[in-house]
Parts: sequence; structure tokens; C-alpha cells
Amino acid sequence: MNLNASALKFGVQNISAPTLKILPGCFIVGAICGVMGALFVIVNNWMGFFRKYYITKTWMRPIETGIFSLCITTVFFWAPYVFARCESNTLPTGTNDYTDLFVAYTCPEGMYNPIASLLFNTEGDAIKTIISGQEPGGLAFTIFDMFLFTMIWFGFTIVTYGVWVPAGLFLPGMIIGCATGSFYTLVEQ
Amino acid sequence: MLAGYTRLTYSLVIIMLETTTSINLFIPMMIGIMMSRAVAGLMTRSLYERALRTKQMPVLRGSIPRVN
Repeated sequence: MNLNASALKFGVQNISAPTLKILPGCFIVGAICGVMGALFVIVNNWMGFFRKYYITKTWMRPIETGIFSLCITTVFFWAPYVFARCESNTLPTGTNDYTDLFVAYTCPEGMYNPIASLLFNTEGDAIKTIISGQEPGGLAFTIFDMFLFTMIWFGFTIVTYGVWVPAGLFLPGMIIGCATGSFYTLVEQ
Repeated sequence: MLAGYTRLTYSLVIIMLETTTSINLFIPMMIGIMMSRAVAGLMTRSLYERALRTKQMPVLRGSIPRVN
């Protein structure tokens, strides 16, 4: 049992061998992610500039952090509620490997909410959730789900990096890249 | 995305290889990360270099200044 390694091992088992067909996808997803990364740098630099300019006293920083965390918690809580969609989580045959990833938010027993499953899992499990969408027994997402998830993470990561809390950039970057790739896959299909 | 703002190249490929544990995806990952780095490199410098410039720390760029 590797309970503590959930952030490091995303547990992908059955990925089909890549063919030449996925090469243009690599280029396109790489280009999109490059533009997003450059945008991240530019916007975050401006945010740092404004922080230096407006937040001059120490007591302002916890207030800023509180405001940001209030916004993020509100969005994370209400987004699955507003865009609620229930899908069945039972497979016709066999057992499911991803039973611990399903989150039934406001759905009845035996169903799950895709956006809630993306947002309420931990960061490592979110990547696992996204990747499991490509396999049988995984979660099924629509284009809109993936777009919403990418935009929520991207928008909040851009703005919040630099507030007065210790925050990492590693897993958010991976999550956004992963969601972008998944979004591209859904669009291509 | 991570390659876009931190400009990690080879280490990031290795990290993704270890976390996904699939050697089949090595070349697509490499292409994607190099593409991301190149596109982001056309637009800005990396996040950490920008942070250093904002704090006005003296750093050496990629090319050595030609002052004797």
C-alpha cells in the first residue's frame, strides 16, 4: 500500500502505445500550454507589482489571503452545484478500479457528479481522475466540464501565486497541463 | 504548462515519466514539453528570472557581456 505516494504516482495502467497520429496533438497542446505559461508569467508579474504597490502594511496581507480563499472556496463549492450532472458509476461487467475517485455530490446513490469529482479530490487524485477518463471504468467528462475545470484552476493559480501563504506551483502546473491535454482530446474526438 | 513558466526541460520529462510509469509516452512528452518551452520562450522570460528582475538583483543572462 502506498498511501502517501498518491501525489507522486498517478497510477496509469492501460495506455495504448502511441502512434504517429498523436504527434500533431503533441505540437498543438504544447503550443497552447506554452502560451498559457507565458500568460501566467506576465500576469503574475503584474500581480506582484500591484501587491508591492497597494499592500504596504503587514496586516493587509492576511486580509488579502482571506479574501482570495473565500472566493476560491465559494467557486469550488458552487461550480459543481450550478453545473450539476449525474452519471451512473456502475459498470455492466467486472469491478471498477476507480471507486474511491467518484464523488456523489448532490446525486443519488449509485451516481456521481463529474465536476465535483474533479474539484473535491486532492491534487494528485485530480490528475488520476482526469487520466482515468480515457479508460473503461473511468469517469466520463464532456468538453464543457474540462473547459470549466481548466479555467477555474488556471484563473486562480495565476492570481493567487504570491499571496502570503506557502504555495507550490508544481502540481497546479501539472493539473492545468493535464486538463488542457484532456480538453484537446475531447475536442478532437 | 509547467514547462511554459519554469522552463524545465529534461528534468520535467523524467518526472512525468516516473509519475505516469509509461515509457511509451516518452517521445510525445518530449515533443510537447519542447514545444511549450519554445512558444513560451518567444513571449517572455521564465517566472524566476522575471522575479529576479523585479527585485533588481544583478544576474548574468545567457550571454556573457562583452566588456573587457
